[in-house]
Amino acid sequence: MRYELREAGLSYGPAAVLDQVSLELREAQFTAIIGPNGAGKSTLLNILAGLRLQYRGSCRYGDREVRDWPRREFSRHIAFVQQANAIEFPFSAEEIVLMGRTPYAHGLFESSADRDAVKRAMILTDSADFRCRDFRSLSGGERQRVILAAALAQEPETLLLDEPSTYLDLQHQIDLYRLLRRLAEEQGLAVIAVTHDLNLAAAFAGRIIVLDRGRLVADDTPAAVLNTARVRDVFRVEVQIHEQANGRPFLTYGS
Amino acid sequence: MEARRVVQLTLAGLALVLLSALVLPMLGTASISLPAAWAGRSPDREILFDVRLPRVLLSLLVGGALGVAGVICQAILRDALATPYTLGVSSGASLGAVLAISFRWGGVPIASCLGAFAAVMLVVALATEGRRLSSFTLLLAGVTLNSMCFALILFLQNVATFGESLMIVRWLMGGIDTIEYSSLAWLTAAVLVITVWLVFHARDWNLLSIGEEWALTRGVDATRLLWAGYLAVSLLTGVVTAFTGPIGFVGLIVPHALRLKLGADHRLLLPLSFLLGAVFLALCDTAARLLISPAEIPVGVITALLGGPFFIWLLRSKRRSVWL
Repeated sequence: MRYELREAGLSYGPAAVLDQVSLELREAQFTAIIGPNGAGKSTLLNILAGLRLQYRGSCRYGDREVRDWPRREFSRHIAFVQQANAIEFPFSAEEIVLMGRTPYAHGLFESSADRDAVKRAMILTDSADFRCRDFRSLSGGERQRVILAAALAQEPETLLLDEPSTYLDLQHQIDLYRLLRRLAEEQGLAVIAVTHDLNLAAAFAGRIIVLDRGRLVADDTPAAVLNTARVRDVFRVEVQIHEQANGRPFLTYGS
Repeated sequence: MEARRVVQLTLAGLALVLLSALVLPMLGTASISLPAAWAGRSPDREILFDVRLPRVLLSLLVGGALGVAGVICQAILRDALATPYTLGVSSGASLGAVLAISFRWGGVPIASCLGAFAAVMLVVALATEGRRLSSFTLLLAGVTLNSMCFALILFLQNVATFGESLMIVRWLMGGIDTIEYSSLAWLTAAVLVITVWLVFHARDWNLLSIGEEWALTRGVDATRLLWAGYLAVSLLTGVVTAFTGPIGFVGLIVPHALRLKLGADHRLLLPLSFLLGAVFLALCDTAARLLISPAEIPVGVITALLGGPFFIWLLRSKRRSVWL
């Protein structure tokens, strides 16, 4: 199933944080959403995730408006990777991932199918080694992988991510984006990530959506979206854009 | 979480509760003989069945209810240090009781229940933003209500006669008295119904204890759960405080110790907090009866003297973990 937004928007009080956004998001595609702070990226992601139901216009997933989906059923289709947040209580990594099976829960305990899905998700994200450790004792990179595994355990068609590389070192950033690309290309997921890292988006995403002051200003392949004029207009930064051997753009900026 | 582990540990906890219910009534200032009590001989029968047994049963029930209320408060506020006090429920109940004592209304339990209920309404009204209930505002409103209630209690105690003032102090210290079996029966029914409902939603509490959005994006109606949890905590604390006065720390120590040993899964945490909370308070109350007998120490003093140092250790170990 795919998303279809028609003039979607959201206001807090009189100020529109997202305005007249129309776009389609489909399976087997890795889409990055970029834009400066306050551009409405997280708001758009929250609307897609079903966390802001008072949106204007239309945001359909499949044949229904997002706000009309029963939550439990919706969460079997859509998984949302929040930023690896602070957890107060001593849950193990595996227990966190098991919570991803809640949309399929019958009764108080997990089934063997639940355990299998959790195992697959933890192997895929390379987090099985520390499954018994207290989540709070993990490093930022390990936490992010566990949170991602919890989302994958939902066996979703669509994966939404809010700045997934924030706490990661360079190696883990690249590993994460490789995995996201693989999930889209090999497993057919719609992967939609909000990010501040233009080069990671340019190197791995198949499509980049640019938001500025709540408006959609560009929506195309990385090579078509990223040019010096647009980066200057949207981000107010002068950059040089280089073309890599694989045809993808790479940004550098003077100091 | 495996079903077998939950069942095994719950049965072990249940066995401890039964053992307490059987053994603790035998202890006391006057030594009694079980065969004599069973045969209906005076005064053994009256001491065992009319005085000690209902008191032990009440302490078990109250301890269990406070343990469970603590776990739910902590899940709602996502804070291992939260208790029904933090949410303002206990101080509302206290104010109700103190009002009843000061103005000689009689029916202190009813007044304290009404006080708890009024506190709930007030805090929820303050913490509601649209249809959402924000846990942070809940905390702020609870803390604010606490200080207002205690200010009023201090004022009332200040203007009360000497006798009333003494009654107020006694009530505020918390204490378990013997109770009619009929009251015990409906109290048991209320506490068990609420506890069983909470246990059946244990997986949802796991999600809510991580975060509201975490729960929402996994199909749990977090707002409804938050409301239900707050209502459950208020009812548990309200009815229990009505009979015993405020008893602190059970809801703090028991869940925290269990989390250290067994982890944070509410499928274990909720039933075991009930069972071990029950045993803990029954032991404290027995100590309260025995330590300086024939006089008695209010059980609130015992739990606070045990709980205070534990609380400080908890705070310190929490801070230490930030540095390590």
